[in-house]
Amino acid sequence: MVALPGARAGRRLRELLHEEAAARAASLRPPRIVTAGALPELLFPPPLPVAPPFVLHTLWARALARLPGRERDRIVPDAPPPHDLRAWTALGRTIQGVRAEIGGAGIDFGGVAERCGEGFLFNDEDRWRALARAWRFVLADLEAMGLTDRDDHRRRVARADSGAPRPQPGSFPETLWLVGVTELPPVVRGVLERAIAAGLSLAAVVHAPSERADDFDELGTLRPHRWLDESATIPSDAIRVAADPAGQADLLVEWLRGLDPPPWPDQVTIGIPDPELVPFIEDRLQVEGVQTRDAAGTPIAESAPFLLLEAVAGFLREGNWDSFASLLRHPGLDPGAGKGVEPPVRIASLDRYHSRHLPLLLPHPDRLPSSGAPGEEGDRATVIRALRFVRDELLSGLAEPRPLSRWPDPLSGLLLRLFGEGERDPRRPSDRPILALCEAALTTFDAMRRLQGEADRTVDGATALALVLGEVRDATLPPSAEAEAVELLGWLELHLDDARHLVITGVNEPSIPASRTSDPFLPHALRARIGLPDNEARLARDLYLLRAILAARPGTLLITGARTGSGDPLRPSRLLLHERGEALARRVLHFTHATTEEGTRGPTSPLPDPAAHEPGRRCPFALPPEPVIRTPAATERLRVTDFRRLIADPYLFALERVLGLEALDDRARELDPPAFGSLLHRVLEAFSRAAHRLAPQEQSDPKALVGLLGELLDGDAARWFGSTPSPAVRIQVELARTRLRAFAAWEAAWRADGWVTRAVEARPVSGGGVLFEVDGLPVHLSGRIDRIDHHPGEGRWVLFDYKTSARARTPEETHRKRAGRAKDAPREWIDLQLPLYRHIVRGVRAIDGGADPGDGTGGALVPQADLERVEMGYILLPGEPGRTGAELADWSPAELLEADERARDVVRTLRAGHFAWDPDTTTIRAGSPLAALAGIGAWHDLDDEEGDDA
Amino acid sequence: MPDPGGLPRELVIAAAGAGKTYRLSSRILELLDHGAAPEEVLASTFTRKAAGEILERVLLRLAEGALDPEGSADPPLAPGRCLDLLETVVSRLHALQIGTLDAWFQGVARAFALDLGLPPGWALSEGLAEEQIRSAAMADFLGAFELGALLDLLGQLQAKEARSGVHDALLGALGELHELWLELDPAVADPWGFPEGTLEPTPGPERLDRLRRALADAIEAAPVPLTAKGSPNGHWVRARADAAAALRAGDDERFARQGLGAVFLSGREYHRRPIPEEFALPLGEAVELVRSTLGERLQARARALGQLLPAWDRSLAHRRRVAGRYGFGEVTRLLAGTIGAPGGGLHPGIAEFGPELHYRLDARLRHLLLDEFQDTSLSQWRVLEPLLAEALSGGDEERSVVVVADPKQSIYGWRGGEPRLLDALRRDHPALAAETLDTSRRSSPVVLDFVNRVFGSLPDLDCVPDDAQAAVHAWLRDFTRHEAHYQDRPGYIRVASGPEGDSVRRSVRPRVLAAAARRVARLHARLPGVTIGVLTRTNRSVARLMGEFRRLDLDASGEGGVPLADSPAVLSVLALLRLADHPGDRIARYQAASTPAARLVGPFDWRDDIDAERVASGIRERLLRDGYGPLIARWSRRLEPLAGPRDRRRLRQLVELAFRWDARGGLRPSDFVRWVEAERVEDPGAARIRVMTVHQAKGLEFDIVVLPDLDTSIRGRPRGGGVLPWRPAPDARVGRIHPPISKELLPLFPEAAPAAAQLDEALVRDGLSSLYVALTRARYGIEIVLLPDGASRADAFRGGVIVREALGITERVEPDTLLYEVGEPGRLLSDVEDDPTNTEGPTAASDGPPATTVLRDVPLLPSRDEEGRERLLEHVTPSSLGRPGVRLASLFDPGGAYARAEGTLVHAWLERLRWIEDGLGPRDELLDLARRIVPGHAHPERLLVDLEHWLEAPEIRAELSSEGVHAGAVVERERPFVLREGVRLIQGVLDRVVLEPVTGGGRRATILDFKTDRIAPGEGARLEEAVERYRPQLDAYRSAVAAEERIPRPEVRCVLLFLRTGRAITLD
Ligand code: SF4
Repeated sequence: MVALPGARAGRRLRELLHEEAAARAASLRPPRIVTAGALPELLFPPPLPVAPPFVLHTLWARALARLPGRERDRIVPDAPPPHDLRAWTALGRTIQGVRAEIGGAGIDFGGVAERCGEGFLFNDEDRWRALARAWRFVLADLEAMGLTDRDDHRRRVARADSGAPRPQPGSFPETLWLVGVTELPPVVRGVLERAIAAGLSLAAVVHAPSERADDFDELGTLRPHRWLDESATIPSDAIRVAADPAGQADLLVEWLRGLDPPPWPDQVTIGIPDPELVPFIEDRLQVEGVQTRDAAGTPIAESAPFLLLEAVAGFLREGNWDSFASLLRHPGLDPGAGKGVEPPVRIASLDRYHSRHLPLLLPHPDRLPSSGAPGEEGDRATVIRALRFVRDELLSGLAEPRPLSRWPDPLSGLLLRLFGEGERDPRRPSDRPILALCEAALTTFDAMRRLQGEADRTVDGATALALVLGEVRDATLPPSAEAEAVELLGWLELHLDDARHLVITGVNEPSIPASRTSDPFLPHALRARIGLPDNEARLARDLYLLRAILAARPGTLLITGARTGSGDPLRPSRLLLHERGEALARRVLHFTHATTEEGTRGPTSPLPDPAAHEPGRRCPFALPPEPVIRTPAATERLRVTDFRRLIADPYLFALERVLGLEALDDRARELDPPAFGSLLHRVLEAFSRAAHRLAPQEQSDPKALVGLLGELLDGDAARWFGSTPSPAVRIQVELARTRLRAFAAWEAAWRADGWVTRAVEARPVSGGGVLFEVDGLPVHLSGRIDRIDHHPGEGRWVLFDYKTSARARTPEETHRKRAGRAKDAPREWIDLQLPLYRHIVRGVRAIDGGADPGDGTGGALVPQADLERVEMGYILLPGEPGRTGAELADWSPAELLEADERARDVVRTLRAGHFAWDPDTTTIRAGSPLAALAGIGAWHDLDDEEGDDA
Repeated sequence: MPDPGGLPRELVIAAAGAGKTYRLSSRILELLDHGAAPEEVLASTFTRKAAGEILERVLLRLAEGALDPEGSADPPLAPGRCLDLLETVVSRLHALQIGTLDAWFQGVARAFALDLGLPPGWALSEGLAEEQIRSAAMADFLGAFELGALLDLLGQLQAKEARSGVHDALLGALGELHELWLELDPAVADPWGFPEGTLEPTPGPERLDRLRRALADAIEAAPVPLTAKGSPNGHWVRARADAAAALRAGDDERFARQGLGAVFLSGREYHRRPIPEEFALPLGEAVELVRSTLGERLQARARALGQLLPAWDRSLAHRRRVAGRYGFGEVTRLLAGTIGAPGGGLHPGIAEFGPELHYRLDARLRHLLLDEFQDTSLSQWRVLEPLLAEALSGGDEERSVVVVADPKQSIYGWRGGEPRLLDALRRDHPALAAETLDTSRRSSPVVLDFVNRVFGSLPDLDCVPDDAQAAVHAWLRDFTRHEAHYQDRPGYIRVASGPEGDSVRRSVRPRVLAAAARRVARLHARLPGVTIGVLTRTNRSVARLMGEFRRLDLDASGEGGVPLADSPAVLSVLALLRLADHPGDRIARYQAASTPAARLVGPFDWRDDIDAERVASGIRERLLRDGYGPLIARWSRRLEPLAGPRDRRRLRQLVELAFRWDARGGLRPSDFVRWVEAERVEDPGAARIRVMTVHQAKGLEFDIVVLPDLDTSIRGRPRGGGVLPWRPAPDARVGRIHPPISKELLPLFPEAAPAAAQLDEALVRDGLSSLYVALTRARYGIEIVLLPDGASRADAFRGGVIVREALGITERVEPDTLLYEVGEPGRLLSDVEDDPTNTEGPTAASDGPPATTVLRDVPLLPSRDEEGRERLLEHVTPSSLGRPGVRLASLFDPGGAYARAEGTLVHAWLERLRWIEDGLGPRDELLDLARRIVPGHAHPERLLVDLEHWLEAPEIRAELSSEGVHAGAVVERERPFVLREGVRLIQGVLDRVVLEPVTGGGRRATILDFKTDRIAPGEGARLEEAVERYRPQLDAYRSAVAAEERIPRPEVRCVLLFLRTGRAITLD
């Protein structure tokens, strides 16, 4: 049997043995190759099954909760609430980590308690005693479950406790070879010593000059103090300093390029003490066409199937729209990939439904609100279908709480529904994470099934799934060895690697040597006392490893970083500074100079400038992508509200109205100003239609009007936002109510004055709009007049538009603007909506859709004679209630004619059909949905430390 | 001044550029020389960069001293001593506590996580994660709270409604208030609003109405002052009517803010007439009335806020706990012991950790060196104070304290920096010897003269309003005249005005910024080697300037960074990602389709909804499969050839962000987009021109500093939604929070005046410090671009006006005018090059290493076919051979585990069998074996009986029998083997091999493989299927045995023994 420090070295040894045997044409009986850490259980099989981690975590959680208050406070004064099993289990996992660590020293909590008093800055005995007590609870529970604790087993073997397992006949190999095992946890060492005493024959092989044999002990592990005092003897030119991670990758590539002849990829190993560097190196090498293989594997937690399960857990826990929307975006729910919604859900439908109704939580599918707007039903049906699928199919069986030991079946059911289709091939990249995840889950399920008694808590599906995910998330997916690649290897494996070329990146503190400077349970001083390797031992080990590496491969390059990816300064590794005398001073200068010179940052622009950057050519990235938009056809129909935009920013008009560009997402948590306005508009429209139902004396009674408006508001809100609207929306509805209240007061007075509302949402009877001739060619104006009021007594007509923006502005303020800075500068039209209402009103008939009464009026609402004198204005419902009410415009007939003329101008430019981008005049604002398209946006959302008073 | 014991206990007030880092590193050297262990020294500062510099300086000075025969000068150390100390420091490099305060706090919090109530695995939250926590907390909070109270708060925020919705407005307001709330003194019973009993109760509504009318009548009856001609003064008549009307209408606020009410309150005159007696009486009474009505309203508002905050705090704490994410602020407050633990309980702060702190940190802190003390916040102070007190106490132990501060550079008031803590420090620790460093080793005499002139004349300037005088004087207390260390350093100052705004469209500020950018471009063209720092007060200005430089095609780097969204190429990728999340977003679709990003996903029609869904789900899938980093890296590589150098750099930075994002993953690409849009990424051009805010410029220096937006108000925007907090002493907790009271109403509530003054002083201090920092960054030259007169709506108390008045520029400032100039920039370059004092000044612009071209047709490393691979083969087991896939259903089948256990046991038993004639061996040994191998197995006895039964099947028996086997045959059981096939290394164990000599020479082999598949004797098809499944495995066995034993393959017989079926199948 051969024991090595790690599995990878074992694999490589097997390869070498095979190669050697083939070369000698010998028959090979490969030895059993194991990792040194697994020896205790191989040599002394435990009498009972070893407790799986999940069981331990759960039992710890329970044990801690059972501790008497004062003792528990010593460990965790601010314990999670009793029902929060996730938090308790996380705590259990933490403490089990401590347990495993001291277990390596062959000691238990009581043992630490005995040793942590004397000679320290602080006496921590209480805490360890409390832990010891909790541990006894755990052990008792384990016993009841017929399980044993691995570390406890080892400790007993090592200490030759009475009742400790004895070696089984035949369980010892002929000879145990320890190869390159220069460090052993004390407990493993103890077990080995016991085995030797019981007759195991052991041979240790280490890499060192033979005259240094004394610097290792009988088991071949280092005697640390013998290695501490000498330099690692690194030639200065073997060390390079890089400014940042990208710079390290650049240096690496430069070094590879200098190898002559260029090696095959499998002859190069890259040492990665600091995993932060991996993506930079992988990406940089990929640019050079070199594949890499990260021996550390990838965390399961980053894989697609894990994320899918997390999304499911999120939905189970939150049950809100966000978690629903995330879940449905997982490609795993695509029908093609396994179980999915059939037919596939259109994400746009979800977004559209959300942006209308802003659901925060998800009600029962049947209670999803519906606005009755066009196109709405399709979207709603999609949401219902998706919701039913998720609730009734995907998550079936997960709703009811049950004991932990009874969750494996429903949870396997979920996994099968998600991934169970067909066969999974371990060689297929997309299947590997699924298999790994399922296997890890299976282990946890087995552990779950073992729970019994009070440890077998009853939990809901969200918690059960979360516990399983918490357990499997640390699993890694080993790299696949199929393609030829340069291998990225962790520090501890490097000295047993035999690639011809080696470069070690990230030779920095605190990656190598690994050191601990503070710890919640095991400070450095205590570690040394209980026999765990301390910082000195780590330094000694790493000095040895580096010497061994350099001795085997003199050409090795060491790269040190000056800064991390996020800009933190890095300290060079002490291994590199392990010099004495002037050599040290010079080495230090070497580093400080290299870092002040900003280190090395490789070439950032290996490409020549593209032709696009020649003057006169438009770059393909330049924004907006089409600096000139041409209308496809002459515009024949225009909304009266279009004019404002056409005047202010024709390009924006073209984007929105010609190309129909519109953002759609599901980020809103509440109504945006237009949606808030629509809510008010809807209520006001309904109000005008319903008001005549009030008794005459009520029609000018503010109280009655408030009552009616309130009812209408509630009805509309319930229709649109359902019975459980998001709280923000509920607040907005209340804000709307405040405005409507102010409106009611005004309305009552207005009616008392003798005004009558004759039409609401009035539009020209011909759907195409009202004819408006420009240069002899027709244009049709369309639009709705929010409300048309008539004062029979005074013979006045007013065309009203409701204005709901927060700030109250008069028609004059919105429609015209001074042309210059001078006080007397002429005023120009910048909006034409109200003046154009004069044209729209001609098309409005008295009775909706009614027949021509044949009285010569053509059924027009406003008699011909009054048309000339018709007034227009706003009904303001602003944020400041004091300004609620009518604001009439008092433009002169001449000014109104000017407005018409301006409208004709606008139509003429529109007909030219040429909308050019002008960065200086655009009204696209940072933060608006079109900003990114226009390349505006760099300063959007910048959070300023100070007010900007400009 | 070191105390008699020799260890320093000092408070150093240092001016900008006076060598703080040098002083700190000297002190550290002294301590080491004194025998202090490196880990006993805690040296903290506020930026990572500064921390790095201190350590570097220590190492550098020791190394230089070691190599210099003279040793080191300050402190004097012989070379040998330097070397000793260097060895000591280097050997403790991992334990040195030199870093930022935040990092140190975080380390302590890690060591005490459970004690502080932090959940296991907690992490720092910043940026998007923090935003998400707050958002979720807000949703919870809104859901839990009564609408009424919120509506009132919203009423106050209504003005903001247009800009931000309910959610964001509340988040902003509560966020700021929450900070204050946490600082409240728990001993004050009712800290919200005015102190109990200071307001007169408001009369009931009817009486109030009567009072109002009576007072209005009285005011209206009062005679107004007459004009010179003897007629009633018209202004007064109107004002009288307005005041009366406001009162009658119950518009108390109008009464108090405008007209006679306001005049009376301020004690001023109205249109050059004092308030006559007849008015004074009713006005006085009306003011009293208004004070009680408005006061009551304000009071109610303050109380409502006070009630919201505990609920908000709970919501936030809950969400933090669920997410396990905490900000630096929480960590600090937890350590300070000023807030409860996240779970709600109370816990001790660092002060109570006592010796346990040193124990867990593995270091006894004896020496405290605090840099940039003026930026310390109160909660940070509460953590540091006990440590400091401890270090200053205790006579016999060797301890020391060095505090370095520059109160004139206190620009972090907005995030809690409290420079007045210096006063507390002086008060409580008189043992600290004070020292001032005011000789600048940075700036030229011209620059320092200018600084001295600006700040020296500050008290006399017209633009300083009366109510700011006290604050200005307080600030100036720590200002002493700056001296130049390098008297011969050349320098210049130039002040000019910018252009006028154009009429309608653009406000003037962007145009002034554009003008400044052009000026910088000219400077750069003339002095290409000179570093120019363009310093602004706002990030928005930075972004605008960056835009201008881009237009001018000038390479400038936005220090501190601007989000990557300033690059069109990045935006095109982001459009694709937005589309991936929101296929209905037509803007994203259009943008993705009409920029080069379209090539990344293949052609699609942006108008087609179904196409968009297809593209979107394709991208989402690839993101998930490959990860953001790898996918975006691939995209970026395809776009780079089309982009210019700057966009190429930005694309690569996008890739770096994507790699950083991968760790968090997530299913919503738009989360990534939002993060990219918010994350500031420095553009690391080798630029000589650097643009940044004054805040970011702290600690940096430039040859020339250009200040384009000095014309902003000295007083910044107050935080906390306008409330007026009050502290009884600088280091005390907040004793009271007054409601927001506008400036005009302040005279009505004199009890809030001290709080308002405190707040104002802080704002003025920050503003002046910001001006000071801006001016003292320059080595050689300062250029200031001012707004022309009439262009700013801000008050006159602005940086620009201070400079103007200090320089004596009194006339109206016209656009585009040179206002002041000393020295001349043109001579600068030659001067600078000759400047003997310049050690780090301009050098020839370096653009980094020359660009090398990637030779794409020659790969970096060659590749070859599988067979050639020497190392790192694919290690497989025989059982995985020929098994195309795994059915998950069988994996999860609980019976599967049972079957596997049985298989293991059967193999273990059969390992003991030599020939069937010999039998399996003693029963109890077999059962004992079973208990050890599959301890959980329920019925080994039954299985054993079964096995004995299976072995009786004739076909099985025949294969296991010694009958007919050569006498010299060897039986091997559980024989391990290794076999290479292509890149695979197959390793496994053969159940049983029988090797026998063949008559006539040579040998032959029989390989037996035991199977326990549950196949009934009649199920021929299933049996055949199984045989096919096992065939590749057996083939491998055959190859292995043939190779190792050198037996021709045909002589190796492979037999599958289906034990349960009773069949032995020989494979051909
Ligand atoms: S968009 Fe980017 S790549 Fe294109 S021209 Fe402008 S800077 Fe260059």
